[in-house]
Amino acid sequence: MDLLSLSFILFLAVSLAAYYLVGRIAPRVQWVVLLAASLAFYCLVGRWQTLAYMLACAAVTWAAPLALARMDERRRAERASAPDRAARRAAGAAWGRRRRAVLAAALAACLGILAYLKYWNVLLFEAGLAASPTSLGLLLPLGVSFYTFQAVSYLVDAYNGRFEPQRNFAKHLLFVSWFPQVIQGPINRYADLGPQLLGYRGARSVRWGRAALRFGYGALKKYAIANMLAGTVDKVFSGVAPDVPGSAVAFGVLLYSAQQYGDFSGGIDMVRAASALFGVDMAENFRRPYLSVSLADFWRRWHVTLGAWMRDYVFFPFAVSRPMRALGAAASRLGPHLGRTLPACAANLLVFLLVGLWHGAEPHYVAWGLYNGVVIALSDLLAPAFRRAREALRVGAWPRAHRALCVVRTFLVVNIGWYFDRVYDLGDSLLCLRNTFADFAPQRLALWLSQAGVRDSDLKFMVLPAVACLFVFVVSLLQENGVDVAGRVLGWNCVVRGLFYSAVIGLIVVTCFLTQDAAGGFMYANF
Amino acid sequence: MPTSKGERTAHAARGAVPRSRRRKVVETFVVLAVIVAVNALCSFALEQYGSLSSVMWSEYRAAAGERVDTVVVGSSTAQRAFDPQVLDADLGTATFSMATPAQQLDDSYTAARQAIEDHHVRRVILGVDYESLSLENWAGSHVAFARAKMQGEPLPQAVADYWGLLVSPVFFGRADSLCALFPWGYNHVKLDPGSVADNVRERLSGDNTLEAAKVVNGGWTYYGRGYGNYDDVIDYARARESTSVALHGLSDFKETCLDQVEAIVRLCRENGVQLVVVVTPRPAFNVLAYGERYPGQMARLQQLVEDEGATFVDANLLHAETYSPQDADFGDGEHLNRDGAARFSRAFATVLQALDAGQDVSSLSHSYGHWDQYLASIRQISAVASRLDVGDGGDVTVTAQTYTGTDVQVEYRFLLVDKDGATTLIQDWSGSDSCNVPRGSRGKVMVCARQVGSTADYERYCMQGLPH
Amino acid sequence: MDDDLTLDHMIELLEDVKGNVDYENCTALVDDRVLDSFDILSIISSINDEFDVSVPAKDIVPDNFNSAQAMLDMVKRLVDEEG
Repeated sequence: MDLLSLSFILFLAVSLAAYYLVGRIAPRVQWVVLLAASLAFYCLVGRWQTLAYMLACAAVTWAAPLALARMDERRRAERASAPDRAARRAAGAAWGRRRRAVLAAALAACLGILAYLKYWNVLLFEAGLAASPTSLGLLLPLGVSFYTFQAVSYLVDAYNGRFEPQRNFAKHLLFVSWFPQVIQGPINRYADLGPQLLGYRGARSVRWGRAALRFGYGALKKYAIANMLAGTVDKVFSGVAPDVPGSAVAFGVLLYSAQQYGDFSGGIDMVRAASALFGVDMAENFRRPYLSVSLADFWRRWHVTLGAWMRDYVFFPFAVSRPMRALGAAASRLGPHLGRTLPACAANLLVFLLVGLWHGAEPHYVAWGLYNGVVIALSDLLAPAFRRAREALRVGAWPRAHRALCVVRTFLVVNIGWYFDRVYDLGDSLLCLRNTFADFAPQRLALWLSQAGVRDSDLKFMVLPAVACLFVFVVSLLQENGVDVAGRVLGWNCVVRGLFYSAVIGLIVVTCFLTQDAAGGFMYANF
Repeated sequence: MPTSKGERTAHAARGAVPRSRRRKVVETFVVLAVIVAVNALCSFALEQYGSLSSVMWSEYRAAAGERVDTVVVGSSTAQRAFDPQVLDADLGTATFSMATPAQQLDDSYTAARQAIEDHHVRRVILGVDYESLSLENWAGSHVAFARAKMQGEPLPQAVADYWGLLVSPVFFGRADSLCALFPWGYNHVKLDPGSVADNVRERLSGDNTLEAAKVVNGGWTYYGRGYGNYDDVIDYARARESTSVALHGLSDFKETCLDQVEAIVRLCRENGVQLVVVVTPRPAFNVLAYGERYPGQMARLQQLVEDEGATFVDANLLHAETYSPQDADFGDGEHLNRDGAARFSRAFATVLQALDAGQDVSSLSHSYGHWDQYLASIRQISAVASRLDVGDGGDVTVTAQTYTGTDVQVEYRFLLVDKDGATTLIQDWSGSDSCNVPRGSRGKVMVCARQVGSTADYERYCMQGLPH
Repeated sequence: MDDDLTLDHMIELLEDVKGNVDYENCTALVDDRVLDSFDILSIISSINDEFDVSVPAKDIVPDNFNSAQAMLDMVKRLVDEEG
């Protein structure tokens, strides 16, 4: 079921009607409609056979925090009844160990299932023990990476005592299975999402216009940009050979950067809009990432919720761990900057290794993650040198130009990263990178593209995604400058709005027609 | 009645909320109305007036009072292969062609069902080709077909038909199910001002669909009974670009397509209608281009059709004494032209006569199981194509690929043709299918092929461009 | 020790880590992305050096770092707990 389809719209309509109707009659059980809709959606879109994995993940992350809470009570009671300070400490330490054991077991269960489903087959294949990366026939459950991470964040937050754990399993299951998030995130936090899912919502508080606008904006990015470019990107990167001209690779990677952004952020816009119709605001996942001024900044704007998850559950715990503090202390003898930076650099490398692995176990994903980690670590380590260089060059005198330059530089650095993400073989990634710099050969671009199967019509129709990209760029610049674009549009005269919506719909309709399987690049065929 | 000031204010306040809400509702309606109006305007200007689907349906409706006992369904290959007049003259039947360009198999089902309901036809001829079963979801064709069918229907039936399309399995879960509400995106004229203006003019001129179709489809002639065709003739020198594999890629048959054929077979069986599934004729090179996939995949279709008790005929495999197409019978790599359709229809009438006489028509053709016999039966060079290789040192080699039978001995000659048309011999007639092009050559290489023993300048040729 | 735990001292520490920020008035240092995770780590490291107290991972939440006062309160609490 595509998000832009009659079936999804009907699904939404039925769920919304039921939700607000039940909300009127029995507001206390309004959330049950959301759970029913989520489970129904999971069975309709994913495979019902894989529902068991989600139920298991929800069960573990529901039971463990309750056990932890009970252990906390016991610890408090024992400490209160302890005769002296030493006994109090001993009781505290003993219960602390037990609590950590429960947390570790629950984490191992959740992440173990994820690792088994996602990596086991690939590891066997890479080790030469499996015929293909999918030879075991494991069904990768829909959204397993997203709901597992979301459930794990709940588990760790509960362990840290951030909130009272949820006693009602069905309510917890709703948090794990909330349907707009299971396809591709965002990875929400319980403290933000839980109260919204479980509290009463009236239809009048929903900002329907904004939600519809966001849904359309997402559809535009997904259909007019991502789907239009996907075919050409495939053709470019499936034909990588030693003689591939660097210009073709650069062309492909640039298209991929637009495709990837359009697909992911467009999809996120659509699911956030769907969620907003139920009065549930999900976490923001993209903040105009291609306007970042550094790679670290990019990762605070691209897939925001994954970055935040990594920051809170990997980066900080690892960076302030005892070994890292010792490393920092040792390094500070070489200089205060190094002492402060080195633990962060190490933590960054770990985080980006995990980000790479999160995308897949193949070597090229690992390389992609490490590339990001190394660049960020280096820029932290060399920060004083960069600062001196900036002072020497007096860039402070032209802040706007400097910012623009940083944005362009970051865009290029990000695109080099995409080489490792998109070229599905590490050797080919390096080959592409080499040819980009050593054999750009723009004169061979047209011939190579046509031999790779890119039709003239594919290139001609690229004017449509180009228009859409320009539109997204303008909207992004306005948003970056604090303009509430949706609010402005909704404030327009309704006839103008109707014409504007017609133009956007027209672009989506035309591109949707062009990306059909069988259209074969025929813009018109007289049926 | 006196009211206190407090009450009045409360009243006004209560009234103020609905007023702003009413305003919002009105604005929403205006926005929707503008979108609907723009959509209608775009459909008027851009949606093809006089599409071949609409010709078929309007002619079909016009023939409501006439006798129809046989219908042809299928895509353009079927539309351009069967000439109803020829069939009827030889068989005494009353045939109507409901085939339309790119007709999808579920639309063929719809057409066949309609004909069975309206006319109680006794025979359905389903014309297919490889792509009928290997490509699916050509949404544009679905939309054009449904829109054309709607034109002459009462509104509730038309709405039900279109809704049926939107919720059909191929549309329902996809963006097409919403985008098809804007049908101009699916079957529009060329997007240049001239074409759009022509379309609008044609719509306003008072021409009926058929007249408009003749204007829109230059070179197309309508011969009645749903049948129209072109007179163009294939250029075998362009074989490389005109194979279906080059045009559409190569994939196996889709299960969904086979299921749709099965549905048509069932429909006919349940209604006591004879079904003949025919793979329509094409030049031999466009069969050979599939390699072993052709017999492998087609055998699946044949088995499915015959298991369900219907008749299967692959026109490409018919023995020469039953049907032997001439070079000029084809309009392109996939379609027959008018003369070709007449010749094929006469041959096909004999197949149907044999069928009606209770003979086993499978004896009239080669079988997929003995593919080598089919390959050996091809006695001429169907086409020659070429490939260009550039070696490490910059040496250019042109290699010929011939589409012909296994028993045919081929020899080649390579000529250099410069941009003024002057030719230089590079390699004279020999059995070698490749030749090195002298360095510095510019223009094109003409690759000639003929059978050993022939004295012709060539039987087939193709042109190979050189890199500059 | 305790007389070291003043708001002025904390602000001085913060200015050493990252200058050009209005620590006296800003109450959304993390939420408004004035401080990034790297700054937070530097602050934790400085707190460790200056006040001789280590900030555990579970206390690294936006609420504890959104203002100089919040950080001071957290440090006071941690000092109390350790003592």
